[in-house]
Amino acid sequence: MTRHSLIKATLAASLILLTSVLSVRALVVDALSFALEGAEKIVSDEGGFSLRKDFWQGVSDSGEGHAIKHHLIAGNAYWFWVGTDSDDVTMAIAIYDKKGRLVSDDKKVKRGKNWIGIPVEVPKSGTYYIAFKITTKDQTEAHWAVAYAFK
Amino acid sequence: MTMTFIRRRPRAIMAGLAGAAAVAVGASLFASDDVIKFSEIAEFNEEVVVPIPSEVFNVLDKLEVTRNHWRDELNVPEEKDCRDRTHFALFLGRVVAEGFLAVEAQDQDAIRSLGRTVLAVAEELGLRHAVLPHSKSIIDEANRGDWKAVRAEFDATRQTVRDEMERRRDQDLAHCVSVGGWLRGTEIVTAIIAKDYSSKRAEILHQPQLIEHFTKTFKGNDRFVRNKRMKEVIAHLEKLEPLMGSEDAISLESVKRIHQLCHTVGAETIAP
Repeated sequence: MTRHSLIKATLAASLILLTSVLSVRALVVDALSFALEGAEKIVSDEGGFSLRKDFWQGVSDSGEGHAIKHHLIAGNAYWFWVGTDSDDVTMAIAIYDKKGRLVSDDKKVKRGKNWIGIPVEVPKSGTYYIAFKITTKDQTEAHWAVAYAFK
Repeated sequence: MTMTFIRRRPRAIMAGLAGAAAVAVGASLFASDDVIKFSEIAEFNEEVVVPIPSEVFNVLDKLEVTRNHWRDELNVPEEKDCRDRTHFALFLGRVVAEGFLAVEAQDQDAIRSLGRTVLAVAEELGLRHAVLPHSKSIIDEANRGDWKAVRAEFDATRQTVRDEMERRRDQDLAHCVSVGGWLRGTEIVTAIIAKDYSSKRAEILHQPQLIEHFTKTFKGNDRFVRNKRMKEVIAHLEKLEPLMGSEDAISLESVKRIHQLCHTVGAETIAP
């Protein structure tokens, strides 16, 4: 390989890397924007909630359940939202205690096209699992982001 | 299987997205019975999401603690000279926790002093530029008596410090800030609960996996295992674990013991 072609190859590789980094960033921002879309709706409807300025993100295979361990404090009311950039999805969410007992109420689940949300008030302070599953129509993996608020 | 788990702070994106979300389309709301079963969970992330101080103080607000009780616990540090970066990080967490207490006590002088201390300690950690706007806001909001805004600013300070440390690949120090704040916060809360004990009030202290998370993090890091100061912190966390990890109600005696342990490690190991 000549020096000239080496430079060209390096530039091409850098461009591919940069493009993929920007694509992933865009997908994450989309997933977060959908989670916040849900948050905006509930926070403005119910009032008094403070949205934490942090979010959690990842990529899961279609239909694969994922759980985030979260220390929740009894006495606070919480809302959790999961957003995804994937279209044509079905989403499920629930909150379990450390022994795998359901503590959230499925009747209170709310969702939009690309987000799902659930409220919870835990009976006891401790670690809980925020569990969710995203199933895409074409079985491709889904980028997701989780946000929450408390009052 | 592809899965990543990363905590992120949306920074400036957050405000823009929140605005965009207000006009978002296609959000048809309806109750769903589409609940994931526990047995369907294939991936559990290892890291526990630690509540921010405002979540704790939000619950304490509901206990209707009087301002004087908060004031009794206030201990604004005068000394700022720590021995090394680990020590400064532990102390920074402690000072921010004191800030939350000063907000509850609505003590403007204490808040102004703590705002300046936060800046001085942040400077030692190379974080002056990141923390300066928060420090100014804390003092401005305290002067206006906007306690809710001051609390939010202390939350933001803590978050900025953590983000900045993580950005610099210095997560170890970020953990020190967290544990320094958690120990002082627990010391304050146990003092308040002991003054007017009930098992319901003491319930907030039930934090088994949180302590386990801290202990595991520190014990798994050679830098901390070799550090005399951190060895003391780990030893105290191990003593706290059975007291705060029991399934049973936390007794008044346990509340007092937790307080004593947090006070000792705070005064003898974390304070300059």
